Amino acid sequence: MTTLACWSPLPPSSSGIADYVAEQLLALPAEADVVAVVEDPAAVEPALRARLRVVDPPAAAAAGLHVYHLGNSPPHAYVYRAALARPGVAVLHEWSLHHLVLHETVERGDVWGYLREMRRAYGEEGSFVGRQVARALGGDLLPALYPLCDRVLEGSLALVGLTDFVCRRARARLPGRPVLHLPHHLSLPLQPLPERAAARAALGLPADALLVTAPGLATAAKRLDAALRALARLAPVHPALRLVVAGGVDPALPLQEWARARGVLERVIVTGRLSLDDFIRHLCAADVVLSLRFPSHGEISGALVRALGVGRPALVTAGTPAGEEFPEGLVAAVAPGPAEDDELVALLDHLLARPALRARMGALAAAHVAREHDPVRLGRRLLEFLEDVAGRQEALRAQVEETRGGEEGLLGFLGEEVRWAARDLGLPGLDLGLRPLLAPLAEPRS
Amino acid sequence: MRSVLLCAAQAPFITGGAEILVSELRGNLERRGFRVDVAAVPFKWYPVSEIARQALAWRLLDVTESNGQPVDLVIPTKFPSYLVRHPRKVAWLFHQHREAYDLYGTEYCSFTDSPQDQQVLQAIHSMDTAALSECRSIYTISRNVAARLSRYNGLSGTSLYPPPHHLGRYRCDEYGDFLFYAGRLDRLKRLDLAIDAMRRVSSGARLKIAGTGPLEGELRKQIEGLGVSDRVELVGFVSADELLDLYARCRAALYVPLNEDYGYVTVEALLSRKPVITTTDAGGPLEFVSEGETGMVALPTPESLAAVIDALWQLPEARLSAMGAAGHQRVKSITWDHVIDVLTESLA
Repeated sequence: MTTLACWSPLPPSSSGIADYVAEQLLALPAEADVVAVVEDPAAVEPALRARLRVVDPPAAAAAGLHVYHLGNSPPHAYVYRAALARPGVAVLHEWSLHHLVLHETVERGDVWGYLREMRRAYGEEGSFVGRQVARALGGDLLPALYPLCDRVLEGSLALVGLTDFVCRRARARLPGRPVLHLPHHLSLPLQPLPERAAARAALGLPADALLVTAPGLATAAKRLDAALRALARLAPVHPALRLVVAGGVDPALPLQEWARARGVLERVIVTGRLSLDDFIRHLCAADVVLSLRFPSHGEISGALVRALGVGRPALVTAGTPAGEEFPEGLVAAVAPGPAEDDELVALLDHLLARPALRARMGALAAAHVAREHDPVRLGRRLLEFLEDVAGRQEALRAQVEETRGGEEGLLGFLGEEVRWAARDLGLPGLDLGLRPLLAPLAEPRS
Repeated sequence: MRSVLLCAAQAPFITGGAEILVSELRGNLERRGFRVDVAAVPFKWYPVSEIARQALAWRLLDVTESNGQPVDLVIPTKFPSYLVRHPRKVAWLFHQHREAYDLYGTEYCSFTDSPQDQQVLQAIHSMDTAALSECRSIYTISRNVAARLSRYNGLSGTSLYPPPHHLGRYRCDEYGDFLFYAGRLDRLKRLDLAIDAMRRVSSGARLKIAGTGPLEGELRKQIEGLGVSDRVELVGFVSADELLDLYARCRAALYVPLNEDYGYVTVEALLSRKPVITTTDAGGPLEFVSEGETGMVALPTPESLAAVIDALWQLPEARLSAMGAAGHQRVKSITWDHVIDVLTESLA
């Protein structure tokens, strides 16, 4: 059995991926030989350290295969650097790594490094867009449209994606490289799950209210402005309607002001950061779960999987992984754009008025998630995949070297300039035979 | 029949001296019995970040044979066509990417000090040196182009002057009452300097400018603004016959470009037995214009240029005729047969 080095922040890191990885590692088959690689082992929750082998990066050097959990936030910076330095298996929790690359470049004063990455990935268009984003003029959408994940993809022996959204793109980018679609596992440590009424009683929520719950940290991407507009429009029809924001609120998000402006402040319940058990109780207490997200960076919400797991109907954003990952009918998709408000109102109204429909959707969702998102089964599938990759490392490493060139200096620059065209045509793995053509042009001459 | 492939980088929809020269080279090679074709790859030189990638397109081409038939000789012309690979590559270098060389750091250069631009600059220098080193021989259209190659790339080139378009038709009818310039109206030709000088002349000299180009509107405004409409005339596009007629009737040619590669105007004027007024920094023209022998050379200032024009205006016709004859003597050996003999020497 190959020793696996699993690079990821672990709880209590601010990254949500930390919880995911901790749950996954604990669910792996007993025969798995795994070390968790974190920046500072002493900072990991003691209870977790007692159950996992946790080491710092230098101690992981001898591992047989490295697995890099990549998210689009600063806690994953050390993982990103390690993934670029040593080919391994990249677990892409999001398709876009744009914010992480910004953190590694612009936020460290290296604007040129950022522009080089944008140009490398998207040519002159990338340079143009990069200049806007580097000046903080890119808004939320541009980083989502320019995911900047090519360098990690090219440098990886294999890819694991949590959604079909990510895996499709990875396969297109790197034909021939192993890609595993590993659905986000379901983790519900609170057992037995409380009934709706019991959960409400435990949380002090009104027993007779219609609760629409938006789980997780409230950010601009969660479309709570649209939710509040819908709440205002539906309140006359559903007087018992309440919106529960089950989690903390991004300080930059003017949630209270929005609610006040819509006249629905008294209908909004904001819980603040929750323990995992109370978080699950809130999902159990909900009538409908709101899991909108736009723009999406290709991520899937663990909270959404949990919401479906406890059998609650969910509204998601169409065109995002949440809208594509589950069979039709398990979730209801709202298209972002001009019709978002109307669609949201119509779907919520339909669901709120039909308890039986909510129950049917919830039951189907719970059954699907229990079957397809079982952590033990997924852990076994992951381990099999990693063992397969470990056995083909040499051949895969050769593919990596061919794809990314690996040249520095002038030859590297020239190679990138030509290779860009192939990438732009969707042929990133194309063997251009560049070295013998370009090397003579880059040789120093007296 | 030996096959020769001419390699030309071309900005689509723009036909300039280089394109005409390639066309004439092709015609004359065919006249001499070679099988000839032209490979032209579009080239866009802006923004700076595009240059290296566009140039490298040439490196990916295989022109060693076509349809199973070997290509015997490849003649690249200007940047970046000489990046092409071929075992018998003989460059006839019109010019390199001058913004990366002699124009670098001047108002005519779009490179900045940014790391990105500097990397492209370094790449151009390295690619040029390497690719031109692969040539069996390097010929340049002037000593000036060869001197730049030597200075910046450490490579030797031999000048091989191209004949002008109407070789055999240039004539001298008289030494009339106007100076003449023919060519593209762009910034490097420094017609603004010439017009400014005309404001300062006291001899009654006039200047006719033939040609079109991006600066036409700007020059027209300058002429009106300086109040020299009575002595400077933009005559626009002229036909071949009109061009030859203007050369035949002018008193002298006025040609003051900045570090010109070669300069057809000089050769055309001298073939028309007319003196040429130019400047000390004109580049190619100075290979033919010697002060007092085949023309007159001013400092690149309006005052100096005006003084030289006034001086030329005072010369008697016999003196102008003598200068014209000396100039004609200097350029009369520029022929297509000589060019073809030299470029195809390796096939002999």
